[in-house]
Amino acid sequence: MANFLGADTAVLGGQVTAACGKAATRADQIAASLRSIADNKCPVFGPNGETLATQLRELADGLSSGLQRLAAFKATAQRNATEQDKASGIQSAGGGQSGSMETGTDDGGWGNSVWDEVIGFLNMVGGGAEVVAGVGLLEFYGVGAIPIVHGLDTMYAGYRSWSEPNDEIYETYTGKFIREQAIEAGYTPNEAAWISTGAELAIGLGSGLAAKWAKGIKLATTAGSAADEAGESIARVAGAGGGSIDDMARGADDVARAAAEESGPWMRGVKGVEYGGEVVAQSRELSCTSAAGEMLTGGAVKEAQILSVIGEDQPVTRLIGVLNDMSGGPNYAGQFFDNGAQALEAARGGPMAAQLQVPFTKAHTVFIEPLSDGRFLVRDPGTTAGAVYKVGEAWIKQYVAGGVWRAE
Amino acid sequence: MSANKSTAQVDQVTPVADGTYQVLLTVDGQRREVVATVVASRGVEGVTFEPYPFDLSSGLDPRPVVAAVLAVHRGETP
Repeated sequence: MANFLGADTAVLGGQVTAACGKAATRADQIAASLRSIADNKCPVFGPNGETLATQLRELADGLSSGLQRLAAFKATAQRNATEQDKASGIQSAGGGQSGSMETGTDDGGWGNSVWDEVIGFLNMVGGGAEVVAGVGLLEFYGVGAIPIVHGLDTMYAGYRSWSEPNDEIYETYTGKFIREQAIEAGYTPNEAAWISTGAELAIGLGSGLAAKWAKGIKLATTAGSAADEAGESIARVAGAGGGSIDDMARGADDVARAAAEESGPWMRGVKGVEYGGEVVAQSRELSCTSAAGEMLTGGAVKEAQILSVIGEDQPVTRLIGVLNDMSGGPNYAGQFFDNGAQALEAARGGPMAAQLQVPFTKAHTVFIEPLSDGRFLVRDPGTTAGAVYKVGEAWIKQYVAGGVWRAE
Repeated sequence: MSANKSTAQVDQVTPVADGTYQVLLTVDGQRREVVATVVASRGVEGVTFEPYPFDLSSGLDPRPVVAAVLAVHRGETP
């Protein structure tokens, strides 16, 4: 197995043990998310959704039951390492011989079947994380199909490696395809194997990191950190012998940039977005309402002041009470609407902090001003530096669910 | 910014004072009670809630709840 990963076995052993610990603590969260996806009969599964949902539940069950075996393995591996250190010390004093992890047995060392289970289990965790992240990405960006398919592929390969007692690491269909293509293109089998591994890790780690940056996705938040950490663990283990980490990091940076440029689906298709400029960017992940409140008061009341009173993750109407208290009178009013025509009427009446709503998407608050040409200027605190863009009436009617403004 | 597929339904809207209503909802299988107040500003009639009926990260839209409250309110208002 050392050759499979291309790294020193002893070093790798420590990394795998650490990775196992991290994976085990996260795997149950991922399994729960997979069951949730299966139970919701996620539409991304398409015409074979029922079959896929059933198989996904089986894989999630495998993930859960694998926890106990992994915990036992981790304890044994740690004991093995300790005993090996002691043995090495004695042997070194006698003749300089060091222990070899490859000669261990299944119950105390690093025999092949144990390796198969570990690699298989880590693949299941990583694949599961990819599926969870992929579903979140598909809902948010519409681009999660690749990680979902690759995640299922990885999970299935991992499941076979973990569950079939034949000392075999099963390759994913994705990996096999890429490796065969590389060989056909003239690469040596060894080079092709690394190309395949690098490509698979790029897909896997990219989705894991994307889940982290796609802040606010509840589905991804459920397993977002789990996806990220499990992905990093697996990448660290497999990356010990190869040079694909830089490529993965570059790919992940691209994903991060894309995520940072959108505060939510309401920005899709909007042209002429100006980043930065005259906008109060929210200082915390969930302080959009307070930032919009600062813009509503023209800077008279700062985001931090509002935030200290209402806290993060608050509906837009929380601004009414706090701004009236701070301004010493009933100077602000607002409400939630029951339809788009009401929202448009209110938006035409002057500047307002507006709560945006999209089904299955976390609500977000922006600041809107009517323009003389009938459009509206949106100052959005939600991107990295804030963003300013113009929208039409249809946008207001579709997304604005409530607002707060200066009382007449 | 997607969220999970939370579900909610309005079970009952009961008047408690002039323009104020007790709203009973079922959110993800759990009963929840909020007070809704019908207000009007900028020529638009709408609703404020205390507390807000949903976790913002749930992705649940308040507009159907507003519509249910206004329907009762308008039915009772001559």
